[in-house]
Amino acid sequence: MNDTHSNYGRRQVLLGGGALLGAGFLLSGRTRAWAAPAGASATEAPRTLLLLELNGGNDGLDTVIPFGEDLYHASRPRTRIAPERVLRLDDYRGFHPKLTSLRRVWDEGRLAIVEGVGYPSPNHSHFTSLDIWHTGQLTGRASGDGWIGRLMARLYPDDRAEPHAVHVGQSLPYSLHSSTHPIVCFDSPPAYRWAENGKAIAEAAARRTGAMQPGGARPVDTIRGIAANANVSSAEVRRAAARYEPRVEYPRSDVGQDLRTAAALIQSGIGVRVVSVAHYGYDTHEDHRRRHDQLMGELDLGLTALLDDLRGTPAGDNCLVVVYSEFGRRVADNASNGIDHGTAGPLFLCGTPVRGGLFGRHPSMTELHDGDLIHTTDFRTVYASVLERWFGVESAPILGARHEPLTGFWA
Amino acid sequence: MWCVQGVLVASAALAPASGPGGTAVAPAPIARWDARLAEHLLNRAGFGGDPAEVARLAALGREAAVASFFPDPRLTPSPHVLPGASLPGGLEDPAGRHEFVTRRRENFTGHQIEIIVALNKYGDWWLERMIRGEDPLRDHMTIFWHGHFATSIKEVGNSQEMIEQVRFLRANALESFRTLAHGIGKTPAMLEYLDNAENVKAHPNENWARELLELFSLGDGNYTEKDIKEAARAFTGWTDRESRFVFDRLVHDFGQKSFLGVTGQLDGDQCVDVVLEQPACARFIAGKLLHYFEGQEPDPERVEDYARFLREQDYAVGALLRRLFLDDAFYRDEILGARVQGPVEFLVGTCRRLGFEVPGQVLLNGADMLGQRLFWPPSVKGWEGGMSWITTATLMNRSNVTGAMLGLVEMTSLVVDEEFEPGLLTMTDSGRRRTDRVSRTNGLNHIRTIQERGWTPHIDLVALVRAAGARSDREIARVLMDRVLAVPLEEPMVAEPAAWLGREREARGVPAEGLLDSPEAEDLLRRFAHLVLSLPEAQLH
Repeated sequence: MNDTHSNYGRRQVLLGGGALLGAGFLLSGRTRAWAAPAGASATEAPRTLLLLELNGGNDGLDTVIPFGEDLYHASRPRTRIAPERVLRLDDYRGFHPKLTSLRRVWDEGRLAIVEGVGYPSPNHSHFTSLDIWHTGQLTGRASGDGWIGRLMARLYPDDRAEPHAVHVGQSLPYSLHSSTHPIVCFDSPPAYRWAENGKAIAEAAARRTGAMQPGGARPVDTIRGIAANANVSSAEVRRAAARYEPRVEYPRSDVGQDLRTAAALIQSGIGVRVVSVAHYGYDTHEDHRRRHDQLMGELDLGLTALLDDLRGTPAGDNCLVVVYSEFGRRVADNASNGIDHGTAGPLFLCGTPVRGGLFGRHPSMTELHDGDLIHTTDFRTVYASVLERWFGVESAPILGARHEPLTGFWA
Repeated sequence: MWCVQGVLVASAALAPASGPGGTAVAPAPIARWDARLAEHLLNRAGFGGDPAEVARLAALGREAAVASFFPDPRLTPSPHVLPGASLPGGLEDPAGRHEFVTRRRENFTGHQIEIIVALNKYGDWWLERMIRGEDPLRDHMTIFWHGHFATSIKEVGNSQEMIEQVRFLRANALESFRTLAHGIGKTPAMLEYLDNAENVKAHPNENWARELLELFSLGDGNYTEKDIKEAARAFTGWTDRESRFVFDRLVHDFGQKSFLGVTGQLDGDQCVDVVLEQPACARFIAGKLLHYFEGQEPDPERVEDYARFLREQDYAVGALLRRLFLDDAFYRDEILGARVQGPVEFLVGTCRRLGFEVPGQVLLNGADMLGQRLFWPPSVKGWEGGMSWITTATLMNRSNVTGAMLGLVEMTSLVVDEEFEPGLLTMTDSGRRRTDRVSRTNGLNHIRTIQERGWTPHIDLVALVRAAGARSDREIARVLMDRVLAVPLEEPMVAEPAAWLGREREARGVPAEGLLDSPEAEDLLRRFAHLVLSLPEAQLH
């Protein structure tokens, strides 16, 4: 499959064009990118993962709405969505009214909804809960690198030179944090370079002084390593974004444009295995209805543009998309027409690798803990499935413990 | 630049109890002190400085040098932006004199430009203070508290409320954390940002109560979910009208609460007092301050020691910092030169070390490109700091922004990627490159506008190098590197950049020893300074 991949052919042509700084990433990216992950067949195109984080705590109950539940309406006198506006999936639940395109994806059997996703002893702090999601461990950062950082270490034990994980956005989420492997982070492709003195800086600043050492590295060496990552990725990233011709139009929202860039990276075949994107603004303590409606609209258009764009291309068909948030929100709304931090929520899995449907179990609306939903599915069972079934690596070393992989959603 | 320092040093030395950090502390009898340690203090407590400033601090001795960072605040007052009534912390309130009505969120975009104008004025003033260095520790701590008690204009939507809050933080930056903890929740910016303005008895809003405990005072793990709910009840009725704090009795919950082991009809202020009684609170604040200024996670015994001291001093922040800056441990080898400079520190420090003037807006927007947009912290947690400042993109932007400050980088060239998007740039009649495209990056667009209006930097590196008596490539390289870097220059670091300078000089047909007399000199020296500022070593202090 890889030999006929159109991007692959184009890349070879571009090689002759001569990237000033990026040749290392380009060359080794190619050879390694197309190497099969452990446990997968050698003829398969590289499997990739796109993580979309709904940052701030997405209100799950207003994403997949249990409109058939009296308590939903009773608990949210100020913010509830009337049953007639819900995009019904069955007699109990339905999508937020803005998720019209996603409804089409659902109807086509391409969207898996895992309900009631959370973890034991839920933490209501954005930052602690994000750390838990980003590390896949309840101890958060104390456990070490992010789960994607650890995945990189498993996938590329002997390659600490070329980045294979990218965050599209200004600040790097801890999930991609790695003390051993290079990570790329940028938000604006044309600006992702040294505008002047680039060659001299690359020569002087980006020399690696040795492999990254877990912990203990001198700060100057860590920065030197980051400079090297910048150096090897700059031309690749800019070329991928500038030359990319998406098959659909992406919305102009920030998340829409970031997803476009993410698709460009996935399609470019430059060795990227994990791309991360964040959609901000979900912390709706106040004015929830209007703000959440807007966010759902942006999510709907951005995510479906991405899925439509990826679908049917060799690289796109090998991209798994996971949409998650650090927690859901409380069952009852507050007097500010908002909703405070809660616990469990739905997680979306989509893309060609996915078989659509409902997974997990909807959390009880009557059996609550302090006004919060009790999770039914541990998010780490999803991670375990992604790690083992998609990337072919053992999940326990990454997640610190064995979690039985959630199955059923794979196509 | 430090013209008032002599006076301040003298007064502080004579009457150590007069300044904000003036509580008497017994320092080590004979403190190790030299130019390197003096520069370390200047880098961390202030924003770095040129060799003359370092020499002056070095000559003072450690005690007097530290004392000079605690001038009488009356000598460097906060700017008087608008007249009006008093707010907590002796602030002026602009009630009734708003240039624009509070329009939160829904209409924010339409008013963005006006809002930015007022914030920019304040930002210019703040940056000016940092660069002039009259009270650098206070300005530094104002950034610290702005990141600690983070609120963003993006959600607050009212520039005067943001300005008043930063002024409150500045006025109390080195005073009692008790005052900060009691006052911050009453600033309209915070009331709006964390929604306590809408926290009413019928349905308490927990946002402020949660962050007060988690991020502002105790840290995760030192309270329960129940404590948050109880505190939220206690803060019901704290709201704002016309940008002034108001206690609305009608929506306050006067009932009994049980909070952190204390039971009673607690109100918000009593809750803050309960918080301040917690050993975890002093530990959290002392630990965060130590971590911030030392750039490394402090060990638990040291945190405990400083936390005890902070409690003894009734939360006097200045006293804690004074003790820290006199502490030998603050000058230990693993601390020196090993902290990542924050974006504002890096850009302001560059101006101060090279002694050149850059518009405040270039610095503010430059810091935005590096991940630190003042008045717009990314979340209520503020800026994470440390190595998280450096990503592949921000590292390149550190080079690009300092390149713009030196007049070498046109931001327009970062809006369009000429290498992969040829033909999108056109030349104007005046010979400038332009494109109609706008970048997504706010700071980049603003610097670009400033450049398109014709701004160029005033800097004379040739004169600077000449004054130092340097002639050869190596001497010039050494002088400029020593000047640009906040870390001590080690001779092996000079070789490669000096060789680059030699190659570039030869490429321009300039003979050795003849560089400073060549018309190419200023451009080449700026390029050299830019190269040095782009090195990993330049990101540290």
